[in-house]
Amino acid sequence: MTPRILFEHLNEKNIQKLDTYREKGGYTAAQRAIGKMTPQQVTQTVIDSGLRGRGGAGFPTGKKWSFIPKNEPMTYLLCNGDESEPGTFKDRVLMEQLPHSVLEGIMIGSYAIGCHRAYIYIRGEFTDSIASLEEALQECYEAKFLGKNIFGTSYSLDISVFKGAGAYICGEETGLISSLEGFKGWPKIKPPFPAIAGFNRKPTIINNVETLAAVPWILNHGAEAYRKMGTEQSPGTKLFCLSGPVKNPGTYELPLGFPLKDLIFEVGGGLLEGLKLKAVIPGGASAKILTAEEALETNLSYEDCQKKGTMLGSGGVMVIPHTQCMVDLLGVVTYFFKDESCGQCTPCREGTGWMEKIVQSILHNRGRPQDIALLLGISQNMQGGRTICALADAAAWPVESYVQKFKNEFEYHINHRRCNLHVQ
Amino acid sequence: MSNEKEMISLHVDGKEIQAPKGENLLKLLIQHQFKVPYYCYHPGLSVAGACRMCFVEIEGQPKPVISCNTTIAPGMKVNTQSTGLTQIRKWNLAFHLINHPLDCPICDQSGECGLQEYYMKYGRYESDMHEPKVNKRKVVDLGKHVVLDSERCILCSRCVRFFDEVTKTSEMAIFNRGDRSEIGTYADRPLTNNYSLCSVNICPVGALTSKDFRFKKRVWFLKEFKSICPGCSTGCNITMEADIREKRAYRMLPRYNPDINGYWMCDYGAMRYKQVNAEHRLLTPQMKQEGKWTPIEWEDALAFVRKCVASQTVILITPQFTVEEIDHIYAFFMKQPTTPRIFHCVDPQSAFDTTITDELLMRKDLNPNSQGILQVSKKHKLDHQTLEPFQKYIAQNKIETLLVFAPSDLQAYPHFMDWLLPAQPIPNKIVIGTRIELIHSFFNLALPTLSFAEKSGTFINVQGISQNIEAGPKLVDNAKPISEILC
Repeated sequence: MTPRILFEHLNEKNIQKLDTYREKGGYTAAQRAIGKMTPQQVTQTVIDSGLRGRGGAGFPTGKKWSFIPKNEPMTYLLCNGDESEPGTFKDRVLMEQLPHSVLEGIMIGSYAIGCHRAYIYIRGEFTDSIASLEEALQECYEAKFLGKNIFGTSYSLDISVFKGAGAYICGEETGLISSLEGFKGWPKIKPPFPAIAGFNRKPTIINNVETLAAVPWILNHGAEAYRKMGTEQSPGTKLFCLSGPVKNPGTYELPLGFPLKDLIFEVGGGLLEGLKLKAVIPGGASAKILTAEEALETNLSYEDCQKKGTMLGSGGVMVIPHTQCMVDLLGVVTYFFKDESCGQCTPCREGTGWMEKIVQSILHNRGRPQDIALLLGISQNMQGGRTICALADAAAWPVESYVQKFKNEFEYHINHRRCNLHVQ
Repeated sequence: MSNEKEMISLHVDGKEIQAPKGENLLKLLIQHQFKVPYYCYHPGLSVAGACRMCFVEIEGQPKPVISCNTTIAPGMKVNTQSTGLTQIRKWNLAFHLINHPLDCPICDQSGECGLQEYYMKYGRYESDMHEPKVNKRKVVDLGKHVVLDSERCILCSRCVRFFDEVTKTSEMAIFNRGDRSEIGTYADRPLTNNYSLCSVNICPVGALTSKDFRFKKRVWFLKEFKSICPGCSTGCNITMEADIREKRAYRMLPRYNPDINGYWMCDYGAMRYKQVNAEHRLLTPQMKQEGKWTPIEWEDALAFVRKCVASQTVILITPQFTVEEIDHIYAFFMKQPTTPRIFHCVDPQSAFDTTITDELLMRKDLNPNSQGILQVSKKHKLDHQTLEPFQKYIAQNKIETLLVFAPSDLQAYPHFMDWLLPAQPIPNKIVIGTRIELIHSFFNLALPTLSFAEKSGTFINVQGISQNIEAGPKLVDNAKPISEILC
């Protein structure tokens, strides 16, 4: 039995309701934080817990909060619920099933950074998440958990749900801010960073849904208890979205550092009959792919994934069976990034489309021998800070890793003008 | 705010540079002529950081950074040239070019295109792009002055930012996403503001072209002259571009002046170059003989003028001549034996009116030198002799000679001829000006003089700032400067 923090009350009946959530100890963390602790104490507890951002980048949450300049009259907390990374479906579980834990996390986070106006940015397709959170918000307002003078203190907070139109780029911090401001979801150039000039040019913190949902537990049980789970550099638990042809796909809460092998073969029950493991994408479509051998040795922690040359990302673990053509798969991935590139800066706008066309050419037997080197050249010249945001990197990493690790499949397509998986 | 900004020192490519604190790094690099390529940056607009061409290395930074979004810091060590940076620039240029049409020979931007310029230095030459290019809209009509070719656009967003930030009319935007992104106006509405040509001027490639200029002339045939726009009393600084061999002016572009027009000029002003070309000009001296206008020799014309000015003469000057010319006219007639009656047509009220009549720069007084005429006439103590006394005088007195220094830009005085109608019969009616319209039944002698593009001199704008205009090539051979007509 793995420890449960985020999913502690997942299976309680009616946990979406405020009353049930409170019966299970809900909002005690928020009440204590706002009533008895200073914002600095709250931030310090989160820093001590070692909680890292669950959206993908893994930036230490408490440290991020501490970037807000002191005594700012107007700050914002934005909860990023624009879950769009292919292979990721964890935030929606929290928003749909445990909306109050998300709201409580936002309340604590807002208090820590002195924010009185928080927004939850949810992609428009998540109608259930939107409904669930709006209902939870209404309950909170009715119970006077939100609004003026929360829990009888001098602290006031308003939270609103904002529906996005469903763009991958709006999950990027500054793209989200642009979208929330009413503009096209274009990321902004940094500096200035959002903590200095974000939403409406005011200091702003953007946290992932899962990050915030973990905060109440940390305040209730203390930073030490949280650090007991996970690894030294990746404390706590994380939600992993297991997909692909496995027996038990789904969203699982596991301590960080959990072996990827165990997630696939123990928790996930292994691959379906007759299928062999070929590769694993460990952290959403943008993460570099791992071959089966690499995957079996990888632990699901930020540091180990980085050591293996990939990233933990959003925790979207996609299992690739031996019947999958990697050129075909890369065609799907490059199409996604081509479609989702916002088009603002040149390397990403042009590079994503170019890579997609080359992969399609190889897939449809028009490939040229030099296309492999060209794909590597394009992908390597799109990443590493060449663009405004990390979408270009996210688009380049899969191309680079698929081509490097499964070069023979690409060569086979180019040389034989067919796929080596369908030879028999 | 104090004018003297704190100066700091930094090193670029090993050279020490002093610069005001808070300066934009790219702006500084451009000022000091370091070779850093860029497309989206424009000193008059906000920073977009979209083209990703202006990467430089800064000591202490783990990766190259875009210089357009870097504020200089004391002791900063910047490196603008390295093999790594060349590699970045080559690839970024390649990204700009993969979907760009390869039709420079038929593109109007040829010769002043940012893509061509950097291609010579950073081109990868052997094209790797073997996939079909993205097709976008071509020859999109964007109103009276501008045509858009979306395939040539590199989406630097300068035009979008210009209409958002400078005119604040926000007509343009970038639509769609990814490599399907396209600039355009909302619902394809035409650009109706008075600054649409600025978007053409700041477009680094051939996406936005001027309807007036496109396909008329290759830019390498044009020579530049620093001048002042004659379109209104603002006195925007401009560059006049003319083909010397053909003796023809082709366009006027804004020239940076932080105190007057910044980087911009209006469409109305930009079209003022047209009046200097031969088809609008009085080409030779002409005299009305037996009711018919006939070209005559300058010698005969000048003899006639000399004879006339010895008699009782009334002079009317319009404010489209330079300060030097106006002063020459006043001085010339002041020393004549007969008491000269010199009038000018400047309305002091509108000459001092600094109200902006459009989005940005244009003023109500459509003359470049009203202040100049006021100052010169004051010097000669004749500043009270304005249009009203002039009309009264010619209506009430019998005069021998009327000498009119006519406006070059009739837009300023569309009813100019009406002023002369109440006159008593005058035997000698001489007009000196540039326009063909001066061949008018009212006059009997018309003399061609130089347009603003062909002479040097001074205009004084509404703020009282004196600005010099540079003489370009003579566009009409037979036109004479005022100083040679009145001598």
